[in-house]
Amino acid sequence: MTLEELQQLDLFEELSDSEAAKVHAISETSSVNEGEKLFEMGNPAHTFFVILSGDFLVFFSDGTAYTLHQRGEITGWSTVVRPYQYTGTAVALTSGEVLAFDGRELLRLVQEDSTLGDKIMGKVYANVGERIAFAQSRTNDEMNSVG
Amino acid sequence: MDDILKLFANFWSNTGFALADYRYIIMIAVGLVFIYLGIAKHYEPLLLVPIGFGILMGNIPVFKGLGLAIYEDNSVLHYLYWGVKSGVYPPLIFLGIGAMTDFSTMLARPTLMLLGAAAQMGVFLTFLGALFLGFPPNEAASIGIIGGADGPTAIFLSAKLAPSLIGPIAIAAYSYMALVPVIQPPIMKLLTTREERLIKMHEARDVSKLEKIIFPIVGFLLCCFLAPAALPLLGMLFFGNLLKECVVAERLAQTARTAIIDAVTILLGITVGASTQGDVFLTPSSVGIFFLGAVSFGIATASGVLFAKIINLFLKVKINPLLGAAGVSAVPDSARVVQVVGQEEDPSNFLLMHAMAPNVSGVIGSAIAAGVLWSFMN
Amino acid sequence: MYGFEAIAYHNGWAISFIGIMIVFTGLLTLSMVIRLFPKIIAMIEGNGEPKPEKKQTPKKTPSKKLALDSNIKEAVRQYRYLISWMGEPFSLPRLIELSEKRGLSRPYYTVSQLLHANIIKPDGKGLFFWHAE
Repeated sequence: MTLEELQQLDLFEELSDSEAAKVHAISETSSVNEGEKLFEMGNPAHTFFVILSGDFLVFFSDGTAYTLHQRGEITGWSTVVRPYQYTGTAVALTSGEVLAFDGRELLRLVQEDSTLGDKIMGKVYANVGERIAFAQSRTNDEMNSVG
Repeated sequence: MDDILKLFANFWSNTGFALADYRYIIMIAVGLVFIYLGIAKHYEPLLLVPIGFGILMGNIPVFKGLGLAIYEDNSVLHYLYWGVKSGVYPPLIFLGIGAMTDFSTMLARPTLMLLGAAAQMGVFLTFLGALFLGFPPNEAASIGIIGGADGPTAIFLSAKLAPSLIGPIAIAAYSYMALVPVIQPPIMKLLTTREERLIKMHEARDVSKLEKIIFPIVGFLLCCFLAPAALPLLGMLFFGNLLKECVVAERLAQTARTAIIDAVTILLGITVGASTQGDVFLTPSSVGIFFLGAVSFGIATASGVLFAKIINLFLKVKINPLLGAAGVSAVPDSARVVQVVGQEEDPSNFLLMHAMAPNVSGVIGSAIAAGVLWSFMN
Repeated sequence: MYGFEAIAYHNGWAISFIGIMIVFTGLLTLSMVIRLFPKIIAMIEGNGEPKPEKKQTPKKTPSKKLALDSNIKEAVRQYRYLISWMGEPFSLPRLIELSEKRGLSRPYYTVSQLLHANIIKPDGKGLFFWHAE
């Protein structure tokens, strides 16, 4: 993915050229095949993903789920949000492409540049805010049922 | 035949199997645990993996006099360890930290710097605790600085005041830094109400480029005039930050925050780990150091949170007292912990960026505290 | 020597008190100087007034319409049967699992097509229902 294409994504549209360059440096585009898992529930959350193309399903242990279809949508945000392990499993419904970010590299970027971090994290929450609450309520329910 | 047996017996007597005792085995197990925590659990891997492997290296039983062990004058590990003992490595790490840290959240809201100051109470209260337990003042000061939650600062001060304790102090400091997500949340929840945890911080003002350039120069001059003994650490911290912010020296800043900090972290980690030889490390004072280290982190967290609550009594626009816990300068983990605990109450409460302000001021505060203790002990 | 006697002997109380005061003084002074930065910069730049905060309003991107695959009549029939057996609202991952067990081809792709065609819709609580006639 080129720098210009990255800046066209909703998550990064407010970034300046230098900020986008920093983000671009820690991103990696990868292809996924139909039926391939991006991440699995319970695993430590090290990577988060921005959908570039294709359809994806994120589901939880109780059978609930939601789907992602739009370019620029985000998944795997548990790298930067409690409980830092994937709360669901993400699988590709169709083949497609995702932009992957290593969680530790992202935190390092946030530490280096607070303004950039603020822009990204604000957008992450704006994009997935409701789903964070939904996913965390799933985690709470599971923890309560285990306890 | 006798000669062969004698040679074999000689060879065997020089192997680690013959020279080992239970203390080496215990430390090797500790090293393996560190490596496991770093690789499998991702607890501070950049620190725990080198330290863990260093522990393995330092606890291979070797025949003294062959120049192999870290404490032997002409050994390779000894030469590499010089950077720790002389206090050279920590300032170089601070150079890299300065070159990678953005102080703008702190510049936008300077009040939050006081939370970083409050958290340093952990240093001095632990110093008192160490004196109480019978440690001499120089050792007590080195133990107290663990509460600053800053590995390079703890190693720097120990190298100056209590070189024999570098190993246990460094291990304690880095272990507890890795355990910040475990230690801090219960204390934070105990000292705050739900309403306080729900406080949302207002968006901070924009900080201009010129402010970010002026800050390291002014900060350096002010802090080092006040506490000259903090010069090596704060000088490098602010210098690294100036390299970053002035833009014209971006190449140097890039080198500082990548090649230099990574190389020094490798050497520091492995030699600090290697310095924890079983016969030196497994002593009653090490147990005391570990106990006091845990206490110091707890006190530092509590001090920051309580101070934030006190400040709120005088503020019209309240700050979220959880930010006080980020004054513990384990950057950026304690800021991340604040984010986690805040989001448990309200997933829409984004505290991470605000928590970076006390987090980075805690780095400055712990360096000042180290300088103050060093000057008092001298 | 242990205990409070040791602390008093080594001037521990004084060292701690003065040390804390120095750290606080240092950071308090620094914070007060930092507060002056916008005014100092405004003076340097000559207009005497600090610049007001800039607020950025995020741009809205128009949502894109999803492209639909036309040939899904057979899939509709098969999945309608499965879903009526499962009951509604149903679990989408469970539907895919059952489709795989029954040997239906490309269950993931088929489900995505049903979603695009609005034949399957979310109920807003993590489950889905059949929408088409």
